Amino acid sequence: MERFATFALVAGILFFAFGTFWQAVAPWLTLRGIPMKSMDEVAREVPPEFYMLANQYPEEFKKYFGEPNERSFKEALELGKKVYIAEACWHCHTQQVRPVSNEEFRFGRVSYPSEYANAMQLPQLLGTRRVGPDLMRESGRHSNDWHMAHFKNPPAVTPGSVMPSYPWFFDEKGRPNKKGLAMVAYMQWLGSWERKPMYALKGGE
Amino acid sequence: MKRAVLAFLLMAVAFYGPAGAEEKVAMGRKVYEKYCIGCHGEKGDGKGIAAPDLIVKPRDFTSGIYKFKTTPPGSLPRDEDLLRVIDQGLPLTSMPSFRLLPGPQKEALVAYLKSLSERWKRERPAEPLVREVKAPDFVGTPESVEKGRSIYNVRCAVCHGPSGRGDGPAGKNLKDRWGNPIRPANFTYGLINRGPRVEDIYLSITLGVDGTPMPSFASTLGEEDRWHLTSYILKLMGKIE
Amino acid sequence: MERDDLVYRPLVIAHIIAALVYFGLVLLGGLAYSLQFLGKYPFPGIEFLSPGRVRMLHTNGAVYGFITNGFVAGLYWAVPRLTGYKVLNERLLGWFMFWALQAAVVATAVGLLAGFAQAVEWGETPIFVDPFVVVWLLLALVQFATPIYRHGKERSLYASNWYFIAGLIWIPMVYIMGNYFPQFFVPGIAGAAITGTWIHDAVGLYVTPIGWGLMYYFVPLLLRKPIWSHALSLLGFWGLAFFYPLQGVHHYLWSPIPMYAQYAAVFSTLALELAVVTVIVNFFMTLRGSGEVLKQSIPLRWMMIGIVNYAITCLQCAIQVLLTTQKVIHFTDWVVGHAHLIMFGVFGFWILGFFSYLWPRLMGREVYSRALDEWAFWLITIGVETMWVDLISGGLVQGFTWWGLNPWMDSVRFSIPFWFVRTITGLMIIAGFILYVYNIYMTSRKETAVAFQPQEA
Repeated sequence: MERFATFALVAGILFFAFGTFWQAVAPWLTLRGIPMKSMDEVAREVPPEFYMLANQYPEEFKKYFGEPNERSFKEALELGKKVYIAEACWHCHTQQVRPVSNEEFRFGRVSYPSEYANAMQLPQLLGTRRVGPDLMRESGRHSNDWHMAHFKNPPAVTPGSVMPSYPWFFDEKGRPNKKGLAMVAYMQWLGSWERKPMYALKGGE
Repeated sequence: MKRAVLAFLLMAVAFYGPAGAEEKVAMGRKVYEKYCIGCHGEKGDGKGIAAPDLIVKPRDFTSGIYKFKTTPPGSLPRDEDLLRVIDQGLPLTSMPSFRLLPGPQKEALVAYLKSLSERWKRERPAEPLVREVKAPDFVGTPESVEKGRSIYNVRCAVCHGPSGRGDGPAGKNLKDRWGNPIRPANFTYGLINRGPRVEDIYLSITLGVDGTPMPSFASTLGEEDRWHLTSYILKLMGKIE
Repeated sequence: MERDDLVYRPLVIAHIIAALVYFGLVLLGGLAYSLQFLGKYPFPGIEFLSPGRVRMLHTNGAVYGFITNGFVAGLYWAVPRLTGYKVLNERLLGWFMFWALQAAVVATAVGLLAGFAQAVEWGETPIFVDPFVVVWLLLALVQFATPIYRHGKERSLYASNWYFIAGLIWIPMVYIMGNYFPQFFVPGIAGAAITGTWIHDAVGLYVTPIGWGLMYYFVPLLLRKPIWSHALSLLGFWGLAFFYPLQGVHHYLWSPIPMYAQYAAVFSTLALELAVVTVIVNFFMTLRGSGEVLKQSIPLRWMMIGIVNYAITCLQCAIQVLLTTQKVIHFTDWVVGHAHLIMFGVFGFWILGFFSYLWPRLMGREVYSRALDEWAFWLITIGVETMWVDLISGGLVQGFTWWGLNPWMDSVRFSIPFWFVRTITGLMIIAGFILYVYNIYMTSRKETAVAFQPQEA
C-alpha cells in the first residue's frame, strides 16, 4: 500500500483530477452555453458618460483618444482594465452583488453569470475583499468629475475614506491623463448594462 | 407617588421627546461634516477642497438659491425637494445619492442646510407649482414630437442648439448666479440633471432652473405645449424613434 | 554513510537566509499597508510604492519569498535524512534552483511594483515570470522526489514522504491551472471557479502538505519518540488528499458560480475537518507525557503552537464556510484575520521553529541567547493571536454594518480602532522578528564551536 506509485498516482494525480473536475471543470461545462462577448461587442454600447467625458475634458480627450466612439471606448476600456489590475483595485473592491446581506438594496441587481461572459472579465475580477464598495453597478452612480476628484484625493470627496490617491492619473496641471480618462470610462462601463431604463414612456418606472 | 410618576414622565418626554430645532441643527451639522463637507465646504459656501476639480460646482447653501425644486422660480424649496436631491442625487453632476442615510439624519441635515442662509429666516417656501405630475398619453407620439419640434426650434434651439447638443449660439459663455461658467444641457447624453423620469423633463421646462439662465416656461407656454416639447426632447435624447 | 554527510549544508543556510530577508521585507510591506488604513501611509503619492501594489508584495513575498525558501531549506535537510539518499544534484541543480528562485521572487516584486500584476489572487506573479516558475517547480519535483523514489523501492515510506510526494506533484499542476486558465482561456464565472480552486490549492496542496511533511519529521525528532499512531497518519493523509482539492469554490460562496459546486465545496470543507482532527490528535498524543520538552525547547514550542493555531483556523474554517456565516463575514477583515493565522500563525511558525532548531546545528554553535529567543517567541505569538482576534472581530462589525444598510463610510469608520490594533500587533511581530534575526546572527558569530550529536530521524 504505502508505495511511491500509490501516493504519486492516487493522491497526486487522481484525487487532484477529481477535485479539479468538480470545482473548476464542471462549472465551466455548465456555463459554456453562454456566448462569450469579444472586446468589440462589449464596446458597442457606449454609456452617455463617455460622450460627456469627451466634452468635459476636450483637449485631453482629443489628445489621447480622439473622438468619442466605439473604437476609442474599446481602447479606454482595455487600458482601464489594465490599470484596475495593476493598481490592485480588485483587492479592495469587488465586482459581484450577492443575493444576501441586503446587497440588492445597497448596490442593485444581483449578479448573474452572463454579465461576466466577456473579454473584460478575462481574468475575472470578482474580488474577495471589500474595503470600498462593490463596483459591479457603478455606472452612472457618480459623475465623471466626481471620479476625477476622487482619484486625485479620495478623502476630499468622501471624508474619512482610506483609499489611496492616484496622482499619476493626472498631468502636471492636474488635468487627467490617458490613465485617468480610461479609469473613469471603465468605472462608467461597470454595470452600464444594468442601469434602470431612463425616460420609459409606458409601463416604465 | 402619582406626582413622582408624572414628574418622571415629563422628564422622559423632555429627554427623549422630539428633538428641538437647535438640537436638530447641531445633529445636522455632524451629518454634514461626515458626508458633505468635502465638496460643499466648511461654511457651506460650495468651496470645499474637492470643489476646484468638479465641473458643475457644488451648491452654495449660503445664497439660499436652489436649482431643483417644485416651487415657483425664485421661491425657496420645500423640505421634500431637498430630501429628494439627497435621496436620489443629481445625474451627470457630482452629487451622488445618499439614500442609505437614516431618515432622522436626512431630516437633521435639511434643518442644518436651512440654517446656513439668512433667507430661510425671512421667507417661507411657496406652495408647489405642480404636485402630482403624470405624462399624458400623447407624449411620444409622432404628432406630439412634430409639434414639439416647432416649439423647440423657436424657444430652445438658441441655447441648446438645433440638434440638442447644448451648442446653440446663445449658449456659449453663459454664467450661473454664482459666476461659474455653465453650459446648456446636452440632450444627446440621454440624461438630464433633474432626474431619469419623463416627468422630470417636463418639470424642468415648467419650473426652470433657479440660479441659471434656464427660465421657467410656465407662463409663456401652455401645459400641452410643454408636454409636446418633452416629446421632442425625448426624441433628441434618442429615447423614441 | 553518516546521516550528517547526506545534507549539503551551504544550500540549507542560503535558503534560510533568503527566507529571513524576504520575511523582513514582507513584514515591512504589511506594516506600510496597514498604515494606509490609518491615513499615515509612509510613501504617499509615489507610483511604484502605491499601497495596492505593496499589498501584493506583502502576500506574494510571504508565499514565494518566505514560505517557499523556508520549505526548500527544510526539504534539503529532511529529505536526505529521511531517505538515506542525497537529493538529485546539489552543487549544480541545487545552486541553480536557489538563484532561479531568488531571481523569480525579485522579478515578481519588481513586476508588481512596476504595474505588471496578474489579476489572480495569490498568483499576481507577472505573466512573464509564470513559465519560469513552472519550470522551477518541475525541477523541485525531480530534485526531491528522486531520493524518495530510491528509498521507496527498498522499504515502505514514512508519513513525511507521502506528503512530499503528493505535494511536489500537485504544485506544478495547480500552478498551471490557476495562472493560465483564468488568464487566457476561461472568462468570468467559470474563471472565478478556477481561481477559487487555485487560491485554495495554493494553500491546501502546496503549503499544507509540505508543511505537514516537515512536521511529521521534526516533531517526533525533537520529542525523540515515534509518532503516536501510524493508522491515524494514514487516515489524516488520505482524508486531506481527497477533500482538499474539492473545496476551491468556497472562496466565492453566494457568487453566480453554480450552486452544486458551492455545496460540494462547503461539504468537503466540513469533511476535511475530520481528517484534520485525526492529524492534530496524532500530534498531541505524541506530545503526551513529554510536556516538559515544551518548556525546554523553543523550536518545539514554535511547532506545537503552530499546530494549535492550525486547529483553531480549521475550526474557524468549519464555522465560516457555512453559507449562513458567509452572508456576514464574506469580503470582511474576518477572512484577512483567518489568512494571517493560517499563513503566518501556522506555516510561518513551523518555519521559524525548524529554523531555530537547524541554525545552531548548521553553524555548529550554541544558541546565542535563550532570553532573546523567548522574547521573540512571545512577542510574535501574542502579536499574531491578537491580530487574529482583532481582525475577526473587525470583520463581524463590517459585515453587520453592511447587512444593516448603514451608509458605506460607517463600516470604514467603525473599523478604524480595529485597524489601529492591527498596526500595533504588526509592530509587536516586527519587534519579535528583529530579536529573532539578531539572535540568529549572533549565534553564527559565536567563537566556540560545539559538536551536535547526529540525531536519528
